[in-house]
Amino acid sequence: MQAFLLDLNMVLSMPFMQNALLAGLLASVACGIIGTLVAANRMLFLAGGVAHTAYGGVGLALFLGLPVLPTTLVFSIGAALLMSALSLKSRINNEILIGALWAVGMAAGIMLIDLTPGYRADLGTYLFGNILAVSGSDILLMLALDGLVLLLVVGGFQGLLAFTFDRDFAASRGLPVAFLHHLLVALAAVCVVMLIRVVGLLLVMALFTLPPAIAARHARTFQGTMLLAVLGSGLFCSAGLVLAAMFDLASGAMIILVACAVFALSLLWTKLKKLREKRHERTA
Amino acid sequence: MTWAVEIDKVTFAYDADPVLENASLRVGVGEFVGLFGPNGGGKTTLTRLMLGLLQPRSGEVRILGRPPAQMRHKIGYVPQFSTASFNIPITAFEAVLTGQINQKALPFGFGRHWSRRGDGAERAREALRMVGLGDYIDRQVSELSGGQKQRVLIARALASNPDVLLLDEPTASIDPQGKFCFYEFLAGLSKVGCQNSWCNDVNDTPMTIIMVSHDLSITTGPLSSIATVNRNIVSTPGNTPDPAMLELLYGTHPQSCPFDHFIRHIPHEQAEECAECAYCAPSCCDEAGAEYAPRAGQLGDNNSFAQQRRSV
Repeated sequence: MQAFLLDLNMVLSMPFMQNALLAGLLASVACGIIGTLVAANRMLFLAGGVAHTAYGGVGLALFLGLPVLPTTLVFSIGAALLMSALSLKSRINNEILIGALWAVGMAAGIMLIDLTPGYRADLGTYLFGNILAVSGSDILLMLALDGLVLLLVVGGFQGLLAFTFDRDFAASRGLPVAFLHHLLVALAAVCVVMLIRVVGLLLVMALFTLPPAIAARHARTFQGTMLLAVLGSGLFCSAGLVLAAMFDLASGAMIILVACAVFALSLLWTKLKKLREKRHERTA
Repeated sequence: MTWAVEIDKVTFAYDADPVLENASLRVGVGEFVGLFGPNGGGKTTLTRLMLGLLQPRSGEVRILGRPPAQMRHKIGYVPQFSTASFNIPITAFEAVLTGQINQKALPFGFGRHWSRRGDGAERAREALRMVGLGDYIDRQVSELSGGQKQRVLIARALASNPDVLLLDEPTASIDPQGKFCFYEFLAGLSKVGCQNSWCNDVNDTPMTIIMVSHDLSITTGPLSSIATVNRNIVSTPGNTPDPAMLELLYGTHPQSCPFDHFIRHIPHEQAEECAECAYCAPSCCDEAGAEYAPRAGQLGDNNSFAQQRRSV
């Protein structure tokens, strides 16, 4: 136990680790909130498309020699708006189009990185995250994006709740549902970019879905689900990072495994609770 | 006189083929109208036109004399049960509060639309009590039965104190009989309007109710008139469908088809005179009521109607 605490102390005292933990917590704020909205609106496939297309933005940034996160942010929001516009046109099979864009975005990213002279990037850095790479300017960008997400969601909470509960009805009362749809997909793109450093593009979806899924099982209100998802996501990120550093394992993967383990426990918990209730009924 | 709903020679098409063509309907204030049509006949399109979510290619839709987009606060919409996400964590009370979305809040849907305290909240509670969910106000909607969920949607529409109530396929998930007298409840609203303390100002305005359904069994309810929509609209007072409506709903059938015989035996002044002629010469029918003389070769779905009648 003492050895563990010593290890923990050492891990936490490393400056890159402090940056990484901060990045994880900042990303959790946006992802817990937007992940809850995206899951409740059944836009996970769309979010998956946005996450993978972001790789095209990474490729573009490296090819043009621009800062990676801001460039990817602009690229991803553009791709997200394109996909969200396609998803509203229900007449054609929009899942095929989104699936195609998903692949095209990734392929373009790989091509652009190949074409970048003298650069052989480690794909894994962006696909699976790299906590060593979190810079001070990344932290500032994430702070600003969190501010934006909080401002939009707190300011528009009632409209978003009505939109999420019943889109048709909300439209009949004059709520701009198409705008809110685009806004949510764009905010999903923002979250994806924030998570690139922490868990990487491929594992974004897990952090996007698991905390809200766990939260929804235990919360009684929509706000509560968001808050619980933020806390859960922050916890998974922190625990995953620390464990990864202590056992010298991939941090992104560790974060996801921690989240999955808690999700499994949450399922088991409700199952046991139901069983106990049933037994209670039988004896009563 | 101002009609509650006026659909004036409306034509609408999503692409080349019109879904509605030169369709007209007038609904007076306080009427309780059943609007029927086969699937694909334009019911949902008509609903969306009345809500101002679609614009007609030609013709005009007016709600209480004005374009629907200006009258959104006067229309209470009860969408199809399946459109709402009942699996999100939200209480019945909050779900009903969402009925108070107003366009006067900040642009793009931002800002405050409702409060959990005050008049609006009291209206929401009252609406839940009206539909018999007084004991379920703080219950999660995911824990309610199908019929109770449907009633939450009705309460949501009522909480905004509408003059026109528009229900899309409300019979899809009604509770078993005896729990909640659905038609009687609606008919009560249309006769006397809202009788609760919070709508004193409109106490003498009867609510106009339009119920859209593919299910003819709702004609057993106390409707003041019925209309059928299938590219065109045919309406009639009372709650007995006339042969022209049935033709619009189910197509016409050759005389050898038992369904044709069945349609002819629907009680109707003219149809009664011609009751025997299901198996007689076509000329007999032509004399009695030329408009429902059968046209050969058009076979429709002859099961659903019979089943519905039986369930009545």
